[in-house]
Amino acid sequence: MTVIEVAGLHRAYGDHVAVQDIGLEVRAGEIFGLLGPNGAGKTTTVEILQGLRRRGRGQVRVLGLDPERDGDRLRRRIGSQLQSSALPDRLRVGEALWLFARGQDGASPELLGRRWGLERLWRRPFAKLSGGEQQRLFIALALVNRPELVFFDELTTGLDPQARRGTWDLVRRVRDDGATVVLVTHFMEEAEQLCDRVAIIDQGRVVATGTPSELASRGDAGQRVSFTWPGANAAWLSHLDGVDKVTRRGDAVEVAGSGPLAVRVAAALAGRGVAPGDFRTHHPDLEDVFLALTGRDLRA
Amino acid sequence: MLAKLTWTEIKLGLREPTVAVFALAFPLILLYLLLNSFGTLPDPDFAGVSPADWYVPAYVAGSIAATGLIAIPVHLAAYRERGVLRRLRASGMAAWPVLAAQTLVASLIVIAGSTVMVALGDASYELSTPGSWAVVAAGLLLATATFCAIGVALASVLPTARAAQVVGLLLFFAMFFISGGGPPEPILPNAVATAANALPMAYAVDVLQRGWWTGTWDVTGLVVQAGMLVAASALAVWRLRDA
Repeated sequence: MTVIEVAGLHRAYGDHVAVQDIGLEVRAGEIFGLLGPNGAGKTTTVEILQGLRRRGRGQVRVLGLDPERDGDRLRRRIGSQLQSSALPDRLRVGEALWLFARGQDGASPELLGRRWGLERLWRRPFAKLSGGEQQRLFIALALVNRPELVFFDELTTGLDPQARRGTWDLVRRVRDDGATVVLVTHFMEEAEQLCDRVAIIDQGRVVATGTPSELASRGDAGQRVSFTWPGANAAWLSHLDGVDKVTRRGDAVEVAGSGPLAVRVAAALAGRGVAPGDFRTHHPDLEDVFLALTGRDLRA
Repeated sequence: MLAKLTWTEIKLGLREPTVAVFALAFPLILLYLLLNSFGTLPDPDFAGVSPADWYVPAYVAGSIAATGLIAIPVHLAAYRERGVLRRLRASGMAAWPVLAAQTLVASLIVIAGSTVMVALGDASYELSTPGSWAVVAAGLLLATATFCAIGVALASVLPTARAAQVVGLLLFFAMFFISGGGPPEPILPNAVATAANALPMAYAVDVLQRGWWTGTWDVTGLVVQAGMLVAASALAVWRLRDA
């Protein structure tokens, strides 16, 4: 079942075109990632999906509704953690959950508080929460009305690595509870770890969509094999099928190519009686894919 | 939802009362000083009424103006600047209950302030009984609605809480001292009285004073305020539609 359908989405702010032409399809029950550098148009896109911004052109259906026309009705069925949002400084955690809970159909604030480890912070004002605690509260608020669809926008930005991993577990639990999750991130590791499918966005366009491993094995981003082989001439490796390039740096040899590269190189080395102890294969990650697709670094 | 938001705003207001205290205490302290300076006798400079009869209705309007021009814009602009409004909207809370909660809390502040001022005038300065409670109450409601709408419109136009504070204070003081809160209208120079009539507070004062003194309606004041209410609401709705 399709939860979100987007085609030909376009949005400009004055002369600046934030979203050029975005097409997406998000299926029920998946964690769908929007991955791209800062300023790629990810946040604009998810805000349009939630009806928080008007679109310029294009078709958008979310849970079968038009976010622009049925915004309030739609937003009652979705949960959302926004990139730049806050609560009043002196609002306490328990009060926030109580305020956002809509009653009958939702989970009780106390239950959610316990589930997301907030009961210890129940009476603490928003301004006194750490970054990780604020994010936990925002996740709990996003889930308080049992949404069918949840948006997380740069959920882990500003968190330390440990808090980030903890937050990833929370996101998986949201999906395991049956909600569809749209995750906006510029951390490729986050997309790789969490997402069932990813759309890579650059300069307001979707440049690729697929599972992280599909994207990584698209071939336009190569694989590499590296090992230590003192002294010997390794240039002959470049005649092997699928090998594009052999580089030697001191004793270290690196072979770049595509296809079943590791198996071919290993077999060739074994055929010559060479068995390096540190034979390593490097699969391209989403960062390499992004570089290959756009010619630019994701972190730039 | 409105009840929850209003209750939350009241609690938050009590925890951080600085702005509300200003809106309450400033007119009250000034009123006390003025009434002590001018005695209790009717005076031609006060349009033939006693200083208390002049200043209490004027300061009720003043506390409404302070709430609408300072308290509401500062609070809402801070919410907008920090993303609180977006946060609420993203959770399916439409803009109107958020704004209505603000207006309700502002009305509570105004009612509390007005009650104290009337009690002060009544206890020590021979404040007369209003000519018509109904006209005064209607004037109070209309002025509160008008200034709350102006406050929301200001918040929708001003980018930050700091800007709202500066603009709000300037607007408030500009109209407060020439619209009845300072020297009474009969002794104002003509040019200043004309300037006062270009600003909304003078009309709130007219409606409240006339209702208090004679129990009759100041139609100009009602019509002008109603017009400002509609214009400010339209601006706010238009500005906040895509916030």
